Amino acid sequence: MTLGKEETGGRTTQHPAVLAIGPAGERKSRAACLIHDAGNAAGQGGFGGVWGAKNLKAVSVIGSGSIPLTDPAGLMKARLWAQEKYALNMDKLERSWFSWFGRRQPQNRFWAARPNARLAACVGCHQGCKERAHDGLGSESTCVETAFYGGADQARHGKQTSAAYLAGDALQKYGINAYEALRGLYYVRDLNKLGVLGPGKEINCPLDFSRFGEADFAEAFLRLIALREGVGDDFAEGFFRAAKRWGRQEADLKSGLLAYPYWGLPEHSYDPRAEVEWGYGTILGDRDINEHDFNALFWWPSSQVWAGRAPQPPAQMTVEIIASKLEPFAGDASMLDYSTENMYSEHMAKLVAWHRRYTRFWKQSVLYCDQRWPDFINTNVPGYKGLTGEGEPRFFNAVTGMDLTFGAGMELGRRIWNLDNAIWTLQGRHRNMVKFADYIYTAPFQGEGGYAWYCMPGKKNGAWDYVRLNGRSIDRAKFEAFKTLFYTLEGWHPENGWPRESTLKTLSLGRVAQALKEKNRLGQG
Amino acid sequence: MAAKVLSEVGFEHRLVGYRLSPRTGPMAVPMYSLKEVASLLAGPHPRMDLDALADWVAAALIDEDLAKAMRAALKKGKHNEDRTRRVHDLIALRLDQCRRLTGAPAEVS
Repeated sequence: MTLGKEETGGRTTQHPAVLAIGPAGERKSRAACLIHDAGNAAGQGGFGGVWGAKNLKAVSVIGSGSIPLTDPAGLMKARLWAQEKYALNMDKLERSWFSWFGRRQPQNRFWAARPNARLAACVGCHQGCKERAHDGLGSESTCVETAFYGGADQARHGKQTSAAYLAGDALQKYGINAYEALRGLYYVRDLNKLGVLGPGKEINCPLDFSRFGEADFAEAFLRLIALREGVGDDFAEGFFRAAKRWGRQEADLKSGLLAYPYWGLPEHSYDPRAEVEWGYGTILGDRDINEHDFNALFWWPSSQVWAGRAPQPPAQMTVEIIASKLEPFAGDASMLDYSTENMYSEHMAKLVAWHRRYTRFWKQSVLYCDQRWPDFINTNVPGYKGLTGEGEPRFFNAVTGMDLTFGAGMELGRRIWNLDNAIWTLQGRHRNMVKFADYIYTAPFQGEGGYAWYCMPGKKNGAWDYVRLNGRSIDRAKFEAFKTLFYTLEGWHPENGWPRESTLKTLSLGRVAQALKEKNRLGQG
Repeated sequence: MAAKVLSEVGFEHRLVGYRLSPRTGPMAVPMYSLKEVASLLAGPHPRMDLDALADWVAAALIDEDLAKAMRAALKKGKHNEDRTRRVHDLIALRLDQCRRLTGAPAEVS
């Protein structure tokens, strides 16, 4: 029975779910984000500033109903199946090969472990990646907000102190995107070391850099951004635009001092020169993809090679397992060849296309967690074949009662991706805009010889291996040729990257084609 | 020399290493002091050119003895993880020596 306001007097004991902006969003910072609880944010893209521009502070929701499940028993069976067959045995914990460096601790927390913290997980998750600490500092923070100040804190104090946790909490209090703050923090420090930024300098900034690594420095830095005080007004525009205001953008993008390779956004650290599916997916889209689906191909072999071990599984086995799951391009193992010889090929174009389609539907629409999906290689099962391909539709169909196949989901993802490109086209996109910052083309990705450490699968002398990708940059002309391959694969016109009418009609997007036609932005053919 | 080893260098001697963290990825870490280098190398997954580091110690910190010891340690290292640990231990020892000499606060890295 649902109790009405008459019965409850408008009160409830339910905990509201709140999505809010902080002071940064209120002042329309491009670095502002939407924050939910702790450790959850819509970060990139300045959503916080958009809400601030609309005078929207928060959305608060109290659930009053339930989520209807078509097949609750089927959903529970799916969960138990995933847990029993594919998840770690919690009674016999051991490091699995393609796991994220072991699972005895939260997966996604990068400040030092604390003895009085316990694992926390989102409802329904069979793994968990957060923690709650006894002192309440940094509870449930994950990922970049835990990396934001951990390094600076440790470097100053020789060990982790509360400065890292306080800085992470301050990021969320002010509502500032962690990546922008992290990149900006080190950028302004470099400028201070160059002698151009600081109190009374060419770029006048009141921060006391002798306090770098202390909690008060982080608070002062973030406060400048949030309140747009003095130079904070530049910071609040994002450091890409700040650099332009300071007359430094061109030079710093050329040298790489400003590590903003695509669309005015900071590097996610999976360098476009090395892990190309990340860089290509980002520049062919509109934002840092932030989708870690293929990162295990870097993490595991790289750590093993650094430690002098031969990575297992062998590269050929790894790529063949994954390639078998890349419907509709299944079986093309060359999609996973990251060597320089293959990085501009149609095979790589197919990998990028697969990635965009998979994430548009199975992750961004169905909202499967990026921490756990896709599950390509799973060392908890014989043969190492993960549950991707079977798992995605199994959970989805149990909830919805639909009979969607994995491939049908991929086709829906393709439809969404094409709709996105149509929107960008209407907004004025042309292939000439799709280019990286200069340093991606001109400066080799650091590391060479015996210390090259970025390893991914690739062919070397015709044989599969984990090849080292340091020391290379992207060839400008070859990347342009790659774009042509990609546009052709996707059914977009290669001259401008605009969707073709025939492609849109195949995807039942005839109305979209019409809209583009009216604006003279429809790709011919 | 001890004060020099403990000091921060200018932008022209900036070193860049990487701190690897799953999800956030390999984060470039600009460093301006031996203390920062020690902190990076003490972490779970640091990456940098250790030969270049030894050169930097000689050129920027003018500590030829430490650089020589590092190069010898690198030759003995079985793999990069081992080399990293050996070099870190040498650096930590040097920092400790210098702190004692200068009376700077003791820290653990």
